[in-house]
Amino acid sequence: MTNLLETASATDSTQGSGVVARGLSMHYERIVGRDRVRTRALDDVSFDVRPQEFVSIIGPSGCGKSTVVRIAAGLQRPTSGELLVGDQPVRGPGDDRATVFQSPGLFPWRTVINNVCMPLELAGIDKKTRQARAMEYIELVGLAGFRDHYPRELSGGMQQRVGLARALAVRPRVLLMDEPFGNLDAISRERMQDELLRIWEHMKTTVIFITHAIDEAILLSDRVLVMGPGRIVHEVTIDLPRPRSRHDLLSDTRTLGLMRELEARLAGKENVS
Amino acid sequence: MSSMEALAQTIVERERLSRSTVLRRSILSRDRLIQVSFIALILVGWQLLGNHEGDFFLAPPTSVFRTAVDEIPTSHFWSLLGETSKGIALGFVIAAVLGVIIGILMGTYRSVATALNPIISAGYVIPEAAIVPLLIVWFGLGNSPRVIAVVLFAIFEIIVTAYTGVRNADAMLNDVGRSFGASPRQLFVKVTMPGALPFIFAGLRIGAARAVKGMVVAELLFAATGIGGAIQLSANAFRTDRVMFYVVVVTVIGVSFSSAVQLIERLWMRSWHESYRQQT
Repeated sequence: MTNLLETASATDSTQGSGVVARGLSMHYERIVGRDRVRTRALDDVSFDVRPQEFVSIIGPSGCGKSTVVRIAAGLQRPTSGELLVGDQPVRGPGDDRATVFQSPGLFPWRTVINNVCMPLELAGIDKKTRQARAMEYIELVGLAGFRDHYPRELSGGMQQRVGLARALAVRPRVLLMDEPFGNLDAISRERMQDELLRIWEHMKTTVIFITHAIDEAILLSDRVLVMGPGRIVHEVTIDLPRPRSRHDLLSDTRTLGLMRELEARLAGKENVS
Repeated sequence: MSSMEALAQTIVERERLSRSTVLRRSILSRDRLIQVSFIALILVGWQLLGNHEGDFFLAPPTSVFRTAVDEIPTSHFWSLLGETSKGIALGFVIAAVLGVIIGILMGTYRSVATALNPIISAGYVIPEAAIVPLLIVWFGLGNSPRVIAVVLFAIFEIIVTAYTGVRNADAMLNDVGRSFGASPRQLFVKVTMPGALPFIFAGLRIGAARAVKGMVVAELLFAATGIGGAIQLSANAFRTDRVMFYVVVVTVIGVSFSSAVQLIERLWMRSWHESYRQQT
């Protein structure tokens, strides 16, 4: 696989952009019976992501972490605050970003290659170019033999690979991943983590990765932002050497300490010994 | 080459089948055998019962067949058939075009759906046959009231299914499309419509069958026009065999119309829509 990565142009022309969130808030109002119910999904969330950095946002379900991704993807406008990619404020979807969703969100009426082609098709790239480019990324995620298969003919892990290939084919400066491996079985999840690590280490695009799994966050990230309800409560730097592998992590003494710390932060403790 | 890729190549194998194998698979199947045997069984039962009861009460298939041999070569029969079929085709096309457009508008714009929903729900349950006499009063005995009857019979199914199809669009896929920068037009063409098409075609298939019913009901009530009229006249003359013959003709028209729609659907969708891909 290393060969392919070094030779394929898949690695060219992607360059991470920094991401800055300033005071992001997201409030919803709904009238239920006689009550006006206000939900603060996000409340004054600020963070910085350096170019080419891999940052995970971890938190219990319902803490608003997916909302951060939706705002970054341009699918939702924050109630207040702003989010910058590069130096540009996000005003809507754009091809500097690409998203991998939790359910892979593949179009059931399109084959693997046509799913990967979709964003390029929307951007008006001609058929030959987009098919060639799509194939590069399908090979990158190891699905070359399945190019003409339909999504329902693939396993969950393979579908998620297609979702990843589709996002990478955009050659985004920032890759947004919203619990991409949350629906996978344990074996597929580990494989996908390894592959993502391998691909990212060569492409060096910026990644914002949403997860609720501590081990996943430690294995993949440079930094982990811990979210509580609607806000970021803590930040943990993962100072483990790269390139990393699952195996190195298990034998590194620092891993356990990081796990304990994240565990405690997630549980809402202020002082971690 | 990666290990995953090697894996992929070992799992997926392709083999091209010979033409004769493909042909045999499509003609001789167990399902086909069951269908043909069951129809034969019904025909035999009908024949035995008909022989016992006599032509006046229940004309057996042989009598109906004899009537068919007499009727089919006459120009009278072909003009009846032409008249009826043309009306059905025209009414169905109008219902299809209007119905699909209205359904899509309802699915796309909430206000249109809000405005039309009560009317559609009412139209859906009204027995259209009850309106036909009104159409005669309003439009006379010409061709137009019959075509309008066909439209009324067919259009509501088509509207409701098209509406359901558009509404059924997967919100997730819509987000995916939007996140990759699809314009509203692209979203409609590449995300909403492909998802809605199976619904729309199902509605058109039902609509085609209902169009045939609409035509025959209108003709029966008009008396003396088209195949419905011929059924009425034959019944008045107690010609059970002719009534049955014309009922068979109507059935054949209905099935042909429905199959024609299905054929168009297959040809259009076969190559790209998952639900139309053959299971192996």
